[in-house]
Amino acid sequence: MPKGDALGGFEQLVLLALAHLGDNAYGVSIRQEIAARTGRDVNIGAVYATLDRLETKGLTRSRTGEPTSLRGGRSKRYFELTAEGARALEESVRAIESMIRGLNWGELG
Amino acid sequence: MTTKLLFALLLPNAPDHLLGDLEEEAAANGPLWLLRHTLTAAYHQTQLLETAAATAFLLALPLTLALELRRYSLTLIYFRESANFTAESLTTLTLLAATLAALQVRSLPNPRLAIIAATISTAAIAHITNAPQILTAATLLGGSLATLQRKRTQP
Repeated sequence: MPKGDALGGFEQLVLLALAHLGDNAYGVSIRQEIAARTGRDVNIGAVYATLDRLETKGLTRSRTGEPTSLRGGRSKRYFELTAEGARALEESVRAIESMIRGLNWGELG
Repeated sequence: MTTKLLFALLLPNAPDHLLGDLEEEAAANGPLWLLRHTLTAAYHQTQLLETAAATAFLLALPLTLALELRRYSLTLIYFRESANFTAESLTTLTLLAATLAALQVRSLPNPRLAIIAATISTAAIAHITNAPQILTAATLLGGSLATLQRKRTQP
């Protein structure tokens, strides 16, 4: 991945949510997965803005599902990681793990 | 019905899957949750200007009615016969005219036609209500700026 295309913090969270959710990754489930794991009240608009950006970068791909009555007859859009997305996520997480290694949290602040 | 109106005003060009997601979660979280998340989603959809206009419209309409009913009940003269505007009613009228102009700029496909229509409708509002004609000039300017903004934010 080019230097300028490093993953942002929220992009990492979205990609990690996709990795956890597998075949059931769509707007609502991604938002709820991030909210449940991080305790942040995430907005669905922010999730889609990030997903669109990730798809433009080639890190995710999407497909349209069937419409359901619960959603006013509207379809879901399912997302998944591409091979490049999985690689970028792994690199990004390893970089963070490397930065964390050796830190003594008790001595900080 | 309320949900459809909210989506039409705040997220007119949003994709179906986003509206479906909002509707799915609103069933469990209630109307305030829906309003908050729809406003934020509109912001993230780069419709900030339109969101501001639509929100002003939602607030301005009941406010205008309330103010003018109050004015009518206090003075027993018709709105059009009074040339003395209070600051509140003039501000509200301005917001209403600007919002109508923004909605026309957004909904009509040809930007020039939209600005002409918005300017004419504001001139009519100003004439009928005896409001200052500067509103018309402001609409022309606002409509042109909104169109330029839309060209910049939408590929």
